[in-house]
Amino acid sequence: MKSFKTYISILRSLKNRPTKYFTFLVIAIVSLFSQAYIHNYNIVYLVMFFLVGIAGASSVFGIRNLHSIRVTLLSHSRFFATKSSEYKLLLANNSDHASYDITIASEEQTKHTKSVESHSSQTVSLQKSFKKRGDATLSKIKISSLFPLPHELKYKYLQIEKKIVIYAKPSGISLFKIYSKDSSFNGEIDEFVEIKKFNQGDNISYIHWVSLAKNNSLMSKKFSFVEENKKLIFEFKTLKGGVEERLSQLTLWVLECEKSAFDFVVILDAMSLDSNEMSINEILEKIAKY
Amino acid sequence: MKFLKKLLNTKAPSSSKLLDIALLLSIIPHLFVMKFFMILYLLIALVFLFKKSKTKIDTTLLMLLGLVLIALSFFNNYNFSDFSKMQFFVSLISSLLIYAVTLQKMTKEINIYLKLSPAFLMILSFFFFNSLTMLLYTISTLFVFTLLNIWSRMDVKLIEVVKITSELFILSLPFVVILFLVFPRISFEKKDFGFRADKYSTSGYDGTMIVSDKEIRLSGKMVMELYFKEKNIAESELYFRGTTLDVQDGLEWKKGAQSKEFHKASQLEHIVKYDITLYPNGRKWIYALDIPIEAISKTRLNSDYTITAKKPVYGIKRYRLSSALSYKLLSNDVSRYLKVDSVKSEKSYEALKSIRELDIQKSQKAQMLLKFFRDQNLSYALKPSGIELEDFTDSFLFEGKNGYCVHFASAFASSARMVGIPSRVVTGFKSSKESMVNNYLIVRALDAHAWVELYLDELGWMRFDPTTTAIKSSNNPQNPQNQLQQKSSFFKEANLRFMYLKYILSSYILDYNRVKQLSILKNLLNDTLYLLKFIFSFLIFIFISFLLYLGIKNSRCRDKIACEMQSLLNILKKYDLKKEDSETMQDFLQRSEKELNISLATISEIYHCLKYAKSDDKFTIKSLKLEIEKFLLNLHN
Repeated sequence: MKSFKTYISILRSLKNRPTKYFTFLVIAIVSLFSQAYIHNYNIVYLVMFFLVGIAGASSVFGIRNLHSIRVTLLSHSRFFATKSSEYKLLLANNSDHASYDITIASEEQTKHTKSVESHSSQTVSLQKSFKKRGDATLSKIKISSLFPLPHELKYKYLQIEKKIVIYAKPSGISLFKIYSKDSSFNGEIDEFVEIKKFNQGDNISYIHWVSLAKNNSLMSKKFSFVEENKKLIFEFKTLKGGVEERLSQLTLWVLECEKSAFDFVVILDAMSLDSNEMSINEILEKIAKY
Repeated sequence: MKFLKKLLNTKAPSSSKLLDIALLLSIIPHLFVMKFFMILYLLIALVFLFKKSKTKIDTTLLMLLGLVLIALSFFNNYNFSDFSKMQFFVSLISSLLIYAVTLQKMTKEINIYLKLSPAFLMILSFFFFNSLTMLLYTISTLFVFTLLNIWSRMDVKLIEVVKITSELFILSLPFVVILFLVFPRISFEKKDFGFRADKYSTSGYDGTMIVSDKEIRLSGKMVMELYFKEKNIAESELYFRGTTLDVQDGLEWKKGAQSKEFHKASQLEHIVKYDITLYPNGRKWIYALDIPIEAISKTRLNSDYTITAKKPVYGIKRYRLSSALSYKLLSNDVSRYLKVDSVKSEKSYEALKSIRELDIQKSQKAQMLLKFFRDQNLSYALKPSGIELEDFTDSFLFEGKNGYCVHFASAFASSARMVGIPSRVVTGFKSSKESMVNNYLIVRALDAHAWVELYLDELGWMRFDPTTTAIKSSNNPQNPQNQLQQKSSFFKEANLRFMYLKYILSSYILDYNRVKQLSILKNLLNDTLYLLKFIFSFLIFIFISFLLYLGIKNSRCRDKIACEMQSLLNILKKYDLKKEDSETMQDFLQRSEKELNISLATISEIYHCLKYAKSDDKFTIKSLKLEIEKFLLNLHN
């Protein structure tokens, strides 16, 4: 009785839907029935009954195949509004039998794996994008399978229920563009000690014109001492454009600063978000929830 | 064995190859009914398909060639009447389907129609064949189709797919059996589209009887199978009536002009009911047990109590007949059964004078005639010698003194007429109990026989078998069946058992119909013992299916280490110790160890060594198993 109740609960947890092959199966059964009924061929009757029996047994196998599959959210990258980001899932099979032909689908992407061995797991990456910044939830994914026969698609929704913050879309003018044009970003310059290959972000006033003239190679002067400003300050209200544009600009700068390991402060109305006091994610979250 | 092992370990081939296997399998039955030009087309198509670089010209060439060869295949059927024949129609459709399949294969594109074509081809083949072989082929093909379908979506070895498919089949079996038994059937007889592949031949019996001095060679070809409703059929009753021959024309016995007068059969007793499965022979005769009492659908009961079908038997036919083993068959006019050429049988005529002139009853004369035959010391021989056909009766009775049933019957019928007893020869089959298992009997071509019927006034037509008067000889056995027995009684017994099994299967599966369905229902409703037997048998069947299913399911243990550990995990689960998804085996075993206060360290060590240091010979699966057993002992103590 207990196993029967378990079976019913498993049955309820899974949904199914006929596929185009189901139509062919129905057509085949009807044709076989006509052939068998008109000509009284017992072989044809047997084939028809086998088709019905196998299709039914296939349903039971399909349920067994899918019900033991579990999904756990492993990690996810930062989600930015309107941009597609990746999250990783652990697809685990804790049953005594392998599961086959598993399709994992989010609203935007589908991944397929031919088998998940018994008592083993696989990592699956999926893409997801959100339209608006702010709070959101990675709610559910769909696990489906056509195993063992494709006339019926068995599927279930697995809840992830992970609350995430969708950061503002990073866009605007690159920090490095402003940095290269504005010498006020840099400190006083002493005599240079050597020349190095010019890199993106280097001040154009550092270009070693002699090398360019002689060797046609773009080189930059390296100074023994450069006094840089201690901290970059990004103030929301001084930026141009609408709220979303300004938030996007701030997000871009925060990310660029993170990449270049610059210290910065974002002044967001009364809030002052210091990179030395808060993590980048916290700063991005404050911007996202503005 | 190596090949099988290699085959079972094969990984899934490409979808295209799987489809090719399915197509090849579904075309097999069509090859047996396919016209020559169609087979030629198929061979040419195979050459084109195996060609490495296929051009558009190849496809066009194959297309044109196919059209021409299909046209030639059905050249003889270009009249509208043939379109009404199902076999022609189905042949044409299957040929066109094969044509389309080969052309599609040339494009290398697998579309849904190509995927479905094996199923279509299989459905079409059902129109041509209806035999146990076809049943076996169909179920095997269905198994392979299911297997290929599953395999196309699994990246595993063949053995795994075979197991899954077997499980599916076993699970579906009870449903198939229930549906087969209870699904409503129609009552009208099945259509017959012929069975061209099964070439019929005469069964050693063709309705006439010509006395010859040539050797007769026995054929083991099956003529018919019978299933009697009761067991107690005496061997002396196993005479199957084919036709009666009443006109002696030299050496040939012929059937005379059919008398309009119907013989009067009366005192019909010991009625026997039986099913006959008659194999194709191209003749109209249906060999009923002597004598049949009524005609059945599409047959005619003749005036001499023989049965003929309305059309020659070109396919396997099944009939349910009733015969009376004891009967009185009377005729009003028997004068035509007395005509005999006594000039060519002077010696016999003279020798039988004493019987002829006696004023006694005909039955007594018949007995004296039998004694006369016995006194001649005639022997049974398949290769008669010393017989002159010019004066056959004299030569057989007084010179050659050997022959087979034809010689005995002809001489006895002539002799009976010479002593004034109306006689006729009956040809058919005489079987023996050696060909019988329980109620099942096989009749073969070598059972073809001729005997004589004498009209004994008030007793009517009585059967006499003069061949029984032959002296027994080891060289020339009286009964041709003995020859088979001499060859190999074991083989014969085994063959008979096999044929019996085949018949039973055929009877209960291929020939299962509404009548049988109603009969089972009637028995279930009226006979409690039958009902109990039925339920018990069905439960046994379900139980065996379930055992088989479990056997296959449990044998599927690819990772032996995981399987061994699973048994441990299952037991620990009973102690509320469940391994979490995020938990490693080591963590779980350590946690369990703390909870139960029993060491699991050795098990953990062996497990991890086996799992991650596979080249390490320190531990084996057996040692893991032993440790688990030790742990379980400690746990129970």
